[in-house]
Amino acid sequence: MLFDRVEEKNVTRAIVEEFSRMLAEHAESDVIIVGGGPAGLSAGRELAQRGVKVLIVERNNYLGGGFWIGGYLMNKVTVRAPAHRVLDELGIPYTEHSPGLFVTDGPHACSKLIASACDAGVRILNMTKVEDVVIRGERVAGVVINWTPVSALPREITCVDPISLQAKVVIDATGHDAEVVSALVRRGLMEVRGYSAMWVERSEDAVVEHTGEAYPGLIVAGMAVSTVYGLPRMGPTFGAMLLSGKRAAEAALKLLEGAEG
Amino acid sequence: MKVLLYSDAGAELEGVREQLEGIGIRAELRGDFLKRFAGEAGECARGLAGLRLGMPCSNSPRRPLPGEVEYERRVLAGECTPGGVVYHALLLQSYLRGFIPAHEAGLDVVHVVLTERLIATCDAGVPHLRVVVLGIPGLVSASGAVEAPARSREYHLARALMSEAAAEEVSADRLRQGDERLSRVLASYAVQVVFYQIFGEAFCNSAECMLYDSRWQHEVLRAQLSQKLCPKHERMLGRLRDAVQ
Repeated sequence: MLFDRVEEKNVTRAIVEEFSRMLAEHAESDVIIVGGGPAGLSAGRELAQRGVKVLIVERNNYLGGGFWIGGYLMNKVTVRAPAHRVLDELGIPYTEHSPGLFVTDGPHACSKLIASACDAGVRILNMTKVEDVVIRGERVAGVVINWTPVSALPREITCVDPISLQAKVVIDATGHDAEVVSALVRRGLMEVRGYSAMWVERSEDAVVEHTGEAYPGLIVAGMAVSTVYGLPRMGPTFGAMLLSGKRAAEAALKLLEGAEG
Repeated sequence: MKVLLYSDAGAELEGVREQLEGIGIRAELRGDFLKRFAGEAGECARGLAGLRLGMPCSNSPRRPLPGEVEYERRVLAGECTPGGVVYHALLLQSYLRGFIPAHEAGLDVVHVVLTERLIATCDAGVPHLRVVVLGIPGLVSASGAVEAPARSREYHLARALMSEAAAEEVSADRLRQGDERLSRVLASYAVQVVFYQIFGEAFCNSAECMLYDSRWQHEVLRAQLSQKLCPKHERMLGRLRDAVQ
């Protein structure tokens, strides 16, 4: 036989025990990042590389968000300078299409970014949806989560109570949906502007420059920034997502320093 | 008459002053308007953040979000340049007017504020980007000169039917960020501010005159870039030259 003999019950125990251990360990994290797209992965990688305990909560089975595919279902993704330096950091090959515009292979870039975040120590909770936020002393102090399928089924057959995870800092990197921010908006704790029309040339700088703490304990990154501040949409170019993730990590480190200080 | 020229980071202050001097209008450089007149940067950041235009837009200031105030603080501190944010042109003008000291508030003192900020007026909930807003102070937007005048019909057709690259090819001759012709164009808009304040003449009907209210990029490149005046406004400029201190 090619493989060792392993009984089914031990396969089950291995899955349950490892998952339970990971979940128990991350009932409290330094940073919870909601959304495992390029901005969330970029932020998670930066933080984990600095020894921060990071959990990414992703509602889909897969990570990477829109980073697998460029635009119109074509799997070439573009970044504008200086974001190509992030591709260099990750060891992702690319070509310069025209001055300042770089193009790379979506699957290659996305898988490298995911691997790099995981290698740095980020832990992932996928198929998990954020339903609400934990508030302590007028600060966001965690998220309320449930299995993604629960929200897709009729309420009558899914009386599944959610559970909570705590964190010193939460990053909303859920794209235009801005799911964590939306939870605060539903509670009347925050208002948002909603994103504007696509304007590639002007939007990337604005998204990066607006990345930061939008509510005490909550940082917004990636296209969630656009939704919060009414910035233009970006279209199929990803440099701002990668740099916004890095900026969010810097902001989180500052908050963590403040919390410890 | 005195012309005072201000600029926030990046706008082509010295170049515009030189261009104005070439036309025969001597202007005093004043640096950044808000840094000169405003007190607490924090208060300014809050004020500016409330002047952003949303979609749909409105003609009232809005309560700024903390992140918007922080962004303005960073712009004022020179930590980043304004981009992707559109401000209500008339509210911004009114906000800045409040800082002009009484001894420089007379009609014989022309304040021209060059800005990197995008400015727009709001009509029935729809924002319209502007290059220039006449009045006190007069606002001239460098990024507006690139973005506000409409690009050619061919550009929009190529963009809709082909690609951005194809659109760029068919609209090769238009102003772009960092365009070396910008200071010349901005100087023409500064002249519009001066004419409006001194003579009450808002625009000229001649498409060859730099006071023409250009709506298209090709019109800007004809009227504002040429820096020519029609005979009537040339005569008025002569009177103006004599009046500038």
